[in-house]
Amino acid sequence: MASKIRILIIIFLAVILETSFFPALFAGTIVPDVVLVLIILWSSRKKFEDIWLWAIWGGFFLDLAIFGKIGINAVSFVVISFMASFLRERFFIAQRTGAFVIALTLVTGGTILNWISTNFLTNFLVNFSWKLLLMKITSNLVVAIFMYFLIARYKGVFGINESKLMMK
Amino acid sequence: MPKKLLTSKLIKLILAIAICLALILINPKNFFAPVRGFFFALAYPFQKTFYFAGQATHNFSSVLFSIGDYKKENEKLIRENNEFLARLASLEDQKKENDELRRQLELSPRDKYELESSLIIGQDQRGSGSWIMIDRGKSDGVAEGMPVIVYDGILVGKISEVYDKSSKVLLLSDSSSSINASDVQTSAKGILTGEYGLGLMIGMVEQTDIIKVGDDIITSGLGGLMPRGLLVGKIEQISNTSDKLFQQAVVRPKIKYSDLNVVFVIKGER
Repeated sequence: MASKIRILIIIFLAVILETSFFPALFAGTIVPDVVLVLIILWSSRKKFEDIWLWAIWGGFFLDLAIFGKIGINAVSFVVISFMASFLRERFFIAQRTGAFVIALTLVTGGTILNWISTNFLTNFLVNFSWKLLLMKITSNLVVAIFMYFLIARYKGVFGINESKLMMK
Repeated sequence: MPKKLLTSKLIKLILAIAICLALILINPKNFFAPVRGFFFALAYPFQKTFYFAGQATHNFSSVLFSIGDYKKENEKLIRENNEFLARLASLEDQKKENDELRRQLELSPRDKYELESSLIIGQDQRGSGSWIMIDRGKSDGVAEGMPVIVYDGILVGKISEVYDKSSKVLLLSDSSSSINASDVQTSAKGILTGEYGLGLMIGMVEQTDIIKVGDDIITSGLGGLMPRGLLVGKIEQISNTSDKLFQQAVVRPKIKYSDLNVVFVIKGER
């Protein structure tokens, strides 16, 4: 129970970072998708069965905070989490040494997918721009690098049990 | 065994998507308004702290990046300061002239309204200039539809959702924003709408009306809580609608919405 509350608090703080801290820090430019990156990094280390509820909560909190339609980000996060988890288990499981690169690859793919899906669901790609997408990927990768090492350092806090992954 | 795992996984995925779709479907019934209110009540202190921390970091990094230019800047400022002192005397006259022009152009005087100053504590994280969040809400007398301006009477948007201690301001550049506006110089009237965060557009201007590039656009005061005479921007480009029934024009906002720090809510007239 305590670990579930801790995860909820982490998701909540990630939402606040994304909607209040980063918009003030990068005024008028691209803001990194902190919650999305967190969900993808979790998915690259845990099974989808353990992640899907967190993905829903992440999307739900984010939709509340950005005045979006509730469920839009949640559905995007769930699908991305499934794909990240699926790819990791099917293709990347043996490549333990490349875990960092794999995580960044998943973040890149997830960012593109989330960009397209949320843009399509909210304003039908009216604002679609390759330049903005590239900036979004870059900013997400920067956050992912930082977060990757943070999660690796504090596995317990982020609810990661590496041994489970290795047993598979 | 792997097949079984995939099946269980797929069931979870389908269940998760079903939950999300159900959430999307019950949206229009305003089902989540109380949940959102509770969320913002909980998030308010965090939003405020995180936003200020973000601003402080932004300012600090700006200072760090520009530290090399400070010496030159200082010399330039001393020179400019001397020039400004000389100009100060003539500014008093210009102020009187400005007040007279405001009166003639029917722009709203700044001290006419009961204003509630507020700090921005959040903004559209997509950077599309759609909305901002301010630290004033129901408990401060803020209500839906109230206009939001910056210090010198420039309109930035209106209150669209109110919570106990915070409110959402729908910026003029949002695609769902729509207000009655008029041309200061020619009195032509039209509807000002947002262009998906990309800018502003005044439309529905009759062909018989005259609008010119460079004209100022103000609120016309027709309908709602929006008073007349709040400055919006300048006409940049004029065209006709595809059916040639109306004129329309791109309006350049007077200010950059992403750079706002403090705004004022117009709660009423004095």
